[in-house]
Amino acid sequence: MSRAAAKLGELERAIMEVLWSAPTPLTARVISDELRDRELAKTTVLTVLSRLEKKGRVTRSREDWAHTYAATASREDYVAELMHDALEDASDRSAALVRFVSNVSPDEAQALQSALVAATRSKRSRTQAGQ
Amino acid sequence: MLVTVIGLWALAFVLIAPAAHALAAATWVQREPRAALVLWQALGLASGLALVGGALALALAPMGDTFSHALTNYVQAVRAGDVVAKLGPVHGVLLILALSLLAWLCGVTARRAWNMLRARWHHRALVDLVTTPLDSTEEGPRLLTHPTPAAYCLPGTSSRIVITTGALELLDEDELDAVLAHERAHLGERHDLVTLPFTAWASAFPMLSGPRAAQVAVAELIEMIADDRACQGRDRHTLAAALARLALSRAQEVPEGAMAAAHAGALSRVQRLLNEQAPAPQARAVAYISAVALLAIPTVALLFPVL
Repeated sequence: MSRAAAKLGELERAIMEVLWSAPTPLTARVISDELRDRELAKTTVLTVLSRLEKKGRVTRSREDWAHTYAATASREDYVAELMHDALEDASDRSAALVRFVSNVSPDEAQALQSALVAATRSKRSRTQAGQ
Repeated sequence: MLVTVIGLWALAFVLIAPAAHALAAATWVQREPRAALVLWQALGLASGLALVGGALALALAPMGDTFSHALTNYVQAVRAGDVVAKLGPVHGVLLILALSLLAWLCGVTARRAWNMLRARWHHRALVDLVTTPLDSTEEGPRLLTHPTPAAYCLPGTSSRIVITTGALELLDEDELDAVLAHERAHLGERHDLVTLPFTAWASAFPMLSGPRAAQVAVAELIEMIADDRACQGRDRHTLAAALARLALSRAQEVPEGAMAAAHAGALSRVQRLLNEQAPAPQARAVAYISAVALLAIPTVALLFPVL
């Protein structure tokens, strides 16, 4: 991730956080007020909002005279989708990522339990021997 | 030429069925996972080369006495606008079949790669949206707030390592460090590219057990390789403990009936880490020599008028 991309990603996340924690749609002004510690120009907030709108993360609507923005999906929805990809074996979508461990059977679980005891015991004795 | 074709197809048959199963069942691979991986790659390439090369050689037989000769003649004929050349209807059909087989193999691999890339972009966008940096840098591992322990990586030019808060609670500091090292090994060595053709071939030939066995074996080998990399300068037992903890946390999650799809990977990896075996230099040497031989045989058979 390049530095600029990282900064932009971080900014998008911050704006999404504001929208997620708000019960109603917000105007860009309210959003930049919420993020006033960052001293962002209002145009920056608008740019990031339009990027998010293009990606389908926020929806824009017109209320009276100002545009308001709301998140299209809740944070929980996105987390649930990530976890589904992360835990589900054997689907086309989950093939995109490499898991640290895959699912195990109950038989394996028992053997793993005793292996874990062995691993932590020897680890502890080594740590003590090293001290 | 016919002898060459029969020989090549016999080789392809032996590689796809008995040889693949024998290599999948071999135990020395635990001690030499890298050499085993190279051997799998050579086996895959050689069987594809023998299968497609044999079919092409048979189709182009009327064009010359050796395959390279026949191919050169045919390419010249096509350039001159004569696609039919000296090929009769039987050889014409054979040529179309051979080229279709080649296109099918390439097409399945390309489609698989494209689907994977799209899924990866989609997943990565969500990761960037809802995770926070694990340490101070945006570029480092990402923390996902969720009670279920999980750790994984998204390979690619803009890669991500993701770890859940559940995993963070489960692991001590050393164990977390070992898990992250394992994921970095996957990313650094582009294991996703290594597995891609095997995954593609297994889905291209769902009726054959050889490609499926290869896919599972290669998936296990890259885990061993990443485990070994992660343990350089670290206690193997630390990674073993981390693996066992995360795998056990998953054992309670998985509903019954979902087991068929599960790879029997975690336990053997933990045991391999706990009972470290010495390298097997002889097996390694044999594996590398066999890999070279596997690639050389079909190439030589196709290029030189040996038979």
